[in-house]
Amino acid sequence: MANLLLEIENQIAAAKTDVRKENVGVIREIGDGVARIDGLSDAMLNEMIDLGHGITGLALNLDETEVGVVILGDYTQLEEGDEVRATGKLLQVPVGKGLLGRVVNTLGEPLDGKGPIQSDVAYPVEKLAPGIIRRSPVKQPMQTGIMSIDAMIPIGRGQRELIIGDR
Amino acid sequence: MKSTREIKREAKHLFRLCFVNGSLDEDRVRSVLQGILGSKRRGSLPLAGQFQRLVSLDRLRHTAKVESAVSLPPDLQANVQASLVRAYGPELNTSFADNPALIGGMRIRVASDLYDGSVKAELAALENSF
Repeated sequence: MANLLLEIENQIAAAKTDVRKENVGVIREIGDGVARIDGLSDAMLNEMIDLGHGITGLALNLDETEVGVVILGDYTQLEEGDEVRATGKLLQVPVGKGLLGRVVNTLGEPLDGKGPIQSDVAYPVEKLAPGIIRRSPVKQPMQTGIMSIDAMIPIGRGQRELIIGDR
Repeated sequence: MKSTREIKREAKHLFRLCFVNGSLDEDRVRSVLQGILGSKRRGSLPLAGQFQRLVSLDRLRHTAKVESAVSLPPDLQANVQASLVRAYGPELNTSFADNPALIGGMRIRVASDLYDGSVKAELAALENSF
């Protein structure tokens, strides 16, 4: 116990606080799932905004004097005058093998009650697809089970297919 | 009837007319506001509201609010004020306030820029990291 106390004291003595500049704003209006925020002068398009109460927003409308943020969560917890912060990150979700067998929402947050997702890597939601050279070649056909489609339209496994037509 | 976009555009135009040598002139702001309200035309109230919002945002850009857990001594206040004026220009108005909820440290806000060195913020960051 004496060693533990000494270790704690040493860590406190060595602790350094660094002050970083953050970009903040104030909610001016909330309606139709969109929060209009005064401030956030350095917000980027599609940047994640921390609205507080564990709610994230997405900056989609960058005006000269305000930022329009789509609320990705329970908007009833937000009020006019709440302070919000820019996270500096574009909309991203955790990726990796920690997601296997888990139930998550659109932001990658767990819904199954099995604890947080174990992932060190996050990929942006809007990401450019790899170019043709980097992709694996399409080698196996894929049968849909619908004779007219399988007879007339060649579809391969892993292939991207464009579908045009009326609903 | 004017649309919201037209009102915003007109308010922005009137706001830009109130600048003299790069800074907002209060006399011009008063005369513009009197002109808007005195015209009594349709849309003058929303126009005045939008104009007021632009003026208040400009004031916020030139206002620094310094919050500390305990009252700062005058020399430290002067030091902080001098640093802020160096960073944001000579037109900055600095106000100091006590906020015991910060526990320790200082929190400075200038428009959208926030410098939070308070103990409360450190604890909140620590809590989020768990």
